[in-house]
Amino acid sequence: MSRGSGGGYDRHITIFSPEGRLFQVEYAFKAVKAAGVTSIGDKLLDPTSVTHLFPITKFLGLLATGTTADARTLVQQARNEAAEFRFKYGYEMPVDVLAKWIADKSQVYTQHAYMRPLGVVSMVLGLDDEFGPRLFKCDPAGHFFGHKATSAGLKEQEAINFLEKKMKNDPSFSYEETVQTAISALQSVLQEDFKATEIEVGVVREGNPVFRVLSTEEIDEHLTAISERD
Amino acid sequence: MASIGTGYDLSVTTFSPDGRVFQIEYAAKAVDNSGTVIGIKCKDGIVMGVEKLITSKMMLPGSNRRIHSVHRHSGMAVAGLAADGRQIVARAKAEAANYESTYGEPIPIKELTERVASYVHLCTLYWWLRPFGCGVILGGYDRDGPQLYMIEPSGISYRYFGAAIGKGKQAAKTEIEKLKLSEMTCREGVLEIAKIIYRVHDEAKDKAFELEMSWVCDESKRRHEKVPEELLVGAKAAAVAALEEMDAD
Repeated sequence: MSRGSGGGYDRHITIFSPEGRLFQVEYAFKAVKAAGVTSIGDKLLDPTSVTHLFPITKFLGLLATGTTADARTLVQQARNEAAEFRFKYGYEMPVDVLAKWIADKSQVYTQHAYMRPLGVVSMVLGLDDEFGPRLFKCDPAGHFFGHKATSAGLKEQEAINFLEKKMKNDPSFSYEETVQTAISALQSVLQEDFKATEIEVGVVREGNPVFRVLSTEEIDEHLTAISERD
Repeated sequence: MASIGTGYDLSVTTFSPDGRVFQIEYAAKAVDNSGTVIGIKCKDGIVMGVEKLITSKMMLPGSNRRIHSVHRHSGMAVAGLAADGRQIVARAKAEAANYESTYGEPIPIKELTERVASYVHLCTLYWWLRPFGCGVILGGYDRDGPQLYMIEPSGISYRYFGAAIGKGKQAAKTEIEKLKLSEMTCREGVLEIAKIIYRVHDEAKDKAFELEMSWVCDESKRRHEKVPEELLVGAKAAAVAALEEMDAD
């Protein structure tokens, strides 16, 4: 793989390589994949303190994949921003506005040399007043797109392939089917059965637009339903 | 596994080609070179202990404190660069005071940890700052009971039942895993921690060390304090005895 001949500087701060690439941004993407699975194997660690799902407001949730420390910083800022929005404009910050804000902030890091991009891919979810349930994914480059289904992390490509097959004909899933599709996607790419305590699931649904993390019992029910279905 | 950064390790704002920030990893190495620091969560509180390596015989015992009280109900044990540690402690004290003056109640330990971790993380984002070369074990007792957190130089923090950082952390963690922490009181915890620190202390590499311990528990009325003198003396004696017994085997 040929590296740019820009004298190596393009790899230290975010400037263009001779081919027009931003190496530091590309490396930030690698950091998301490199973060891998958190060290749950440590018996002394309290597992309830390990989470990648963060409520931003009562109605907005954020799933952070990548470097945990960077994710926490992002979450703090996002919470602040969402609270200020609510105060300034008198209504809850919509999902796409939050996603755009996160993306704009990430873009600044790719342009200013004094800060590095955050090694986090964030998926923002919520229930929009006009458009219903919405899911956005923001990455270190400052891109953000709305998705019907998506994935991030080490096995993201396999998960996305799985989801594409399921969502090909634009099906309209019920709530249970949606949750079970997500959990099945995880099962298929990790290729091993996991217990309800080993995954976390966050949902927003019509009729109950509050962002909620499912309890272990609820996850168990879904796991049982999936195995019965197969 | 020591991989050389070669050019990607000069600044904290540089990612390596495999997505690592080497400066943060090097900062963690500074922690690994320090004397062992242990914290455990017992059923009625937290106990923390530090293996203070003595560099000079001229030093007064009791000086060079490694455990600091942050607030009435919480304390921090620092491993790594001591000067960096003082900055973190100062910041934690300021955060705790600020919270209390704004909200009128002592800062919840979880909130304190998040603020301190945020601050540590901040210093991994700008090129004009370097990461803190120290890891912190934070223990406290609030409305939700006793809690133990560890903050790494990367700004990551998790809650633990037992944690160890510094030179002997691997050996210490193995020992801590053997303990039944949920059934132990802090009194017993003090003895256990003393034993562990004496055991993981490397006589060959480092000569003398001083044991510093603190606790925050029901017995100390939920205040973070140094472990009482007689208990500390008893713990040290028990630890030395246990070590001799082990050597005799």
